[in-house]
Amino acid sequence: MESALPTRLIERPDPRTLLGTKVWRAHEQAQIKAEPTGFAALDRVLPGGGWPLGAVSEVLHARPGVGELSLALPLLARLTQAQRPIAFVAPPMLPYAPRLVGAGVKLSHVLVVEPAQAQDRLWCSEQLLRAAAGAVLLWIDKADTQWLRRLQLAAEENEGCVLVYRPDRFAAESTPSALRLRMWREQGAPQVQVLKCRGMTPKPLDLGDDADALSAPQRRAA
Amino acid sequence: MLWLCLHLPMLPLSALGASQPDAVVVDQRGSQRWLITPTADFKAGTALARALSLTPDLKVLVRRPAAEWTALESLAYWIYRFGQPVTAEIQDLAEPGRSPRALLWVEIGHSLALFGGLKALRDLLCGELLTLGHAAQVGIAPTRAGAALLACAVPCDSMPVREAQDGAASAPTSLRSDTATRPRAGHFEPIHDTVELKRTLARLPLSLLHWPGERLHALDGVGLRTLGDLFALPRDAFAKRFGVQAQLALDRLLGLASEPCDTLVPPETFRRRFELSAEIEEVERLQFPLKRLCTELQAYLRARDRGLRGVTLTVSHAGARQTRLHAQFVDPHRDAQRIFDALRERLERDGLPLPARELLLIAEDFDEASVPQSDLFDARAGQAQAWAAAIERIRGRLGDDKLWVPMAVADHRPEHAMRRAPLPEAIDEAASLVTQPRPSLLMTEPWAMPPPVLPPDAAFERIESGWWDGGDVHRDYTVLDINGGRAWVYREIGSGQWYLHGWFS
Repeated sequence: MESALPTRLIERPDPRTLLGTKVWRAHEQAQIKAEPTGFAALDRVLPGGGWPLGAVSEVLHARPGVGELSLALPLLARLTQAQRPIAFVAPPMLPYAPRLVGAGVKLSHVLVVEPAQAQDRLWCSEQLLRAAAGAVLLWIDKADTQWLRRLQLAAEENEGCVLVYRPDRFAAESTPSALRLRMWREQGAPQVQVLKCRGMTPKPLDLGDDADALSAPQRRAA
Repeated sequence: MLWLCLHLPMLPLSALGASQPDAVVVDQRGSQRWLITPTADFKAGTALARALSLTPDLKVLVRRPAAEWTALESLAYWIYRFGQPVTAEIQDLAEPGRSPRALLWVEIGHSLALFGGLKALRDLLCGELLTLGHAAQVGIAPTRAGAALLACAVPCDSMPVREAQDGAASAPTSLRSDTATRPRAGHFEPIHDTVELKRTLARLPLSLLHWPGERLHALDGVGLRTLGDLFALPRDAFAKRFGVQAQLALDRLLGLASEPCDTLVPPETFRRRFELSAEIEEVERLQFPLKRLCTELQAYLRARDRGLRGVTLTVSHAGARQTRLHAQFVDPHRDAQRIFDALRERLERDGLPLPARELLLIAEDFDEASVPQSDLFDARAGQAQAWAAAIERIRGRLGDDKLWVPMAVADHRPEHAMRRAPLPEAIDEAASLVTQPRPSLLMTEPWAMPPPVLPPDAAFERIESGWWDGGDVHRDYTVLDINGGRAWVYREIGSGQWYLHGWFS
């Protein structure tokens, strides 16, 4: 009887033959569905190669004008051209239509919602995600873990993208988001740092050529 | 012709919006008052005094014929989708102890193939009737009068009836007199030809006929018990003794005489008034009647094959004061749940200033319905509906002006180059005149700022436009780094004042 235990342990089958690909091993990269950001250097360091689908991503930035919205524009353009609706929830200023058109976003699929209270912002985002929004861009200061989880669940339902814009003083806080980016500008050039990404260890990032695309326009007009 | 007839014995109660099981509706003639809707303990026709002596906590409501007719009419618009012509009637003898008969007919002979046979049609119809909150007995026969009689003859199995012992209820013979001869199911087997109809009707008791009590008494006195006994009488003698009208009624029953009727067609606009049985203060308690109105509106939309764009709910309070709520929909639809959600969100947001007495639901704004056709491979139609529904929920909670679509406008002035397009509006992709870089976030109002230190190679874009409409601008725009953010600033030509106008986010 005593020898039976170790034998059984040795003969235990490989879990993957039982459960297929559903088992994730820590040394492998997880399967992540993602949508390319449109910036090659950024895509290279993100698991899945872009914005995670059906998950919450946070973009932390200290002030407007660091290229935080330009980072999302290629995604928005692709989604709207594929007839998927997108929404801006509580943007701090007007999302400027000529710039959106210039980036290739189809305005007929864009919706702007301006709820005053934080609770309403989260509620609106959740409603839109459940109604199969392609992407929801949400500006909010404080978001508790419980609400971020709710957004996460709503995003999973229809594989929507959630981009939460928050001040970068929350960079040290831990959140359940799948991806956390920090953006700032140094000597005129935009910088992106991956603080956290689900599926792999964050790697340092050099934007290289993408920096020009993000920092449009060049101060010196041609 | 094949007529389907619905007999609605509980219509007087449901028309008043009462849902309690112990509520009864009474009719009055002189000093006599009697129940016209049955309860678990009493059958219709029991004198009110007797019912109250046995069950003192009975909730007594007074009959409102106008409400009954409105309710029947809205049911007629619903049943319109099953066939036409549609006709309805409330037969009221106004005799003590007799209940009015609310009857609704629809000719289904031509719709059988569409709905996949008689049984499928009847099951669908009965199922929808239940969701509308009405109980009915069904009769199907080649004549209107025959179908009505069959519908009334259907036994109410679910209602054990306590026999009225006193003589005040003057229905000559008990309705339950020959239960044994009737089929136990909730309906008779449909009858397709007049020969079979005559055979079935011949077995029914005379008391089923909605004739004056005097005449029924006389027939009972002669010893006639069933309709068969009547059919066997010589025509001339019967007409001479009981009147030509009685003979005509018998002929119509059997299809020997024509049955003229006024047909009902749904009107161009939907207006439904609903008087509440008591004043209601809490929004929650309005949900039940409101839900019902929305279901009726959905039935109306289906019958007319229309989609709803906008709906108005008027809540009346004491002293002729009113609260109006309007809901506009993103796409035309006919979903009762969406109509209900939109109105409820608005009611919950604004609350009721005063107790509500009456609801009036008006729908006049119609369009072709964009009803999703079921497609095995494309889920997009359903998603578009879900999106529109989400927009309506948000708009109901936040207000109409909090939701908009940014739209490019062909104008050189930055603040006029976009506008907020309210929903629902056809958004066209206007060509933008902009060739120079533009910020992604624009401030609603430019901020005045102190003159910045300009780099030596600063380039300006001059915008001078708008002299024709009073919004004249003369500005030199440039791009500037402010505190690590890239900003769009301008200097007003003339005053030299600097402004911050947007960010290259």
